[in-house]
Amino acid sequence: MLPTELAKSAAAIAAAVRAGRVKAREVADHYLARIAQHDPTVRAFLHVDPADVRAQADAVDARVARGEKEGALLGVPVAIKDNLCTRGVPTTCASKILAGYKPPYDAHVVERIRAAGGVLIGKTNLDEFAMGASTENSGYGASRNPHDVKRVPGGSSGGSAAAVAAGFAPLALGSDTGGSVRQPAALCGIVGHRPTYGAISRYGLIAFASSLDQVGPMALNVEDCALLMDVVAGPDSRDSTSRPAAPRAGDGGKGGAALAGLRIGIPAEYRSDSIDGEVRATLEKVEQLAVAGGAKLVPLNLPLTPYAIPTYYLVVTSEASSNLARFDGVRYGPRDEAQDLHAMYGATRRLFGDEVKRRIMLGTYALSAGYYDAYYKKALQVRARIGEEFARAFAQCDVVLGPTTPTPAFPLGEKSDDPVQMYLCDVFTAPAPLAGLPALSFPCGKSKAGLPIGAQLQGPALSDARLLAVARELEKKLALDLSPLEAPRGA
Amino acid sequence: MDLREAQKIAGLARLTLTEPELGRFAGQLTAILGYFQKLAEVETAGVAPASHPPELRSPLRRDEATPFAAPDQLVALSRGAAGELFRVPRVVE
Repeated sequence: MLPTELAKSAAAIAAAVRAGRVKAREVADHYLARIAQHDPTVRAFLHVDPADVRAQADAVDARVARGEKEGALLGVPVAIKDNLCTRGVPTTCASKILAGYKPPYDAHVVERIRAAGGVLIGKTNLDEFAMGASTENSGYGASRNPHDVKRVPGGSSGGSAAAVAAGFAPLALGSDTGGSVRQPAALCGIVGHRPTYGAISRYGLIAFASSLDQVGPMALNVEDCALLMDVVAGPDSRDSTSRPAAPRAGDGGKGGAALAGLRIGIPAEYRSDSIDGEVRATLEKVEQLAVAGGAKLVPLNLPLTPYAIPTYYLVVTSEASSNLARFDGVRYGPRDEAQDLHAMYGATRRLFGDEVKRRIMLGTYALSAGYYDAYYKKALQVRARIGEEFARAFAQCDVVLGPTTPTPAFPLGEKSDDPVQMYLCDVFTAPAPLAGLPALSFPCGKSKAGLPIGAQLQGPALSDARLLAVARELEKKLALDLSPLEAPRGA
Repeated sequence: MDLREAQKIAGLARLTLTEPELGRFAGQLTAILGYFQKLAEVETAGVAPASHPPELRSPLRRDEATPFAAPDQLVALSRGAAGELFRVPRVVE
């Protein structure tokens, strides 16, 4: 067992390994034991190879023994969403169509974690191709929320969020197209950051919707989230959207005083009656703490908020229908042999699950002759207007605060037969990606039933360091217990 | 979206769907597209479409080829690998 102060802080683990107070191998064994004991209940992982994890940890210990003590993540286990390529390690996107796929290269972010001394502990579950908000669309079964295993962990990075909350790894990477880092972070009571578009290279992230996809760090607390952000952010010539001067985490808010004089926008649309009462009440407490810290609340209107969901789903399905054309049995994954090429494509693509097929159909429809202007082009025009609306808002305020999700975690199966209801889970998380803006979810309380509630901060492009600093100060004022759970609940 | 239209879209998307799948998706897509009609309420006359985050300027660099370390490993991933090539069913008669 790791001492409590290490189990709740990746930064503390790295410092202890660097100082020789604990071996990377002991850290790895602690997390592997927890996974062996509790992951059969939580099902956060699709792939864990204990021998490989121990070998990575031993290599870190050898590195430290040689006196090579640089590396921000020395000996820190990191869980990796299974849509990020890991060299020689299965990478499935939770899809049957990539069963058995072992990429011959690492994603950029995986290279960076290895170089920083991090230990890849396993590949986490997701909604197939990151299409969903619950992990129920995984081709390999749903993950469970460690706070109540009868409920969803959120999605699509639900396996990563559940792994961190359950104490299977102190850090994880997810990807966020319309909320897939922030929504599961909120539902599992952890921190999740979607950085400014272009901050983190997507090289090796299996593409879903390229104008929206971003890799995002997930952690138990803001300091750890900033630590991982600084390891993985930065320019990379292999992703043409990668920014030459990518935003960094800065000091992650260590300096304090981020709230003094801060103008916090509070949109009226984020307080509607459709939001759970406990979520609203918890957010109001966060607002009061911010004011006590010297911030000023600025009432705002973001009237296009209700239009973000249809806009987002038209953009995302159109781009997905194109990106997923590559899964046809020719170059990777299983192949269903047939007499002619089209029959081979069709037979192989039967391996997609229902939500993936539905989205490919929807995107193909929106891009098809006769419908392009009414659907796809219209969505891109509304997208432009949503960007303008945010620009006007950020002329009046520095950050926007609101709930990450309208409700805490919902029961497994509750929305799985109703695509529109599932899409509405993204109501507060879809707008920022459409505008390329950074946004961060952090835990701000729990419902009476013990389910985590997340608050979301959104800021203008490149304001990542400020979002982290503000979240860190609010986290300090909230003074919640941010330790991982001892054991999954509700089993 | 009726069954015929669903069949046409499935064909364009290179999806082979069963009759029950076609019926189910046609119904669900009709409901989703109905909900998307909401966008008609937004005034967009003269608004330039934003296919990327409006603020992003893609950085440019020289278009220089850099060899991938192990091309043979990429080809070997295919169920139809044939030397340096991918074997597929006959395309042209």
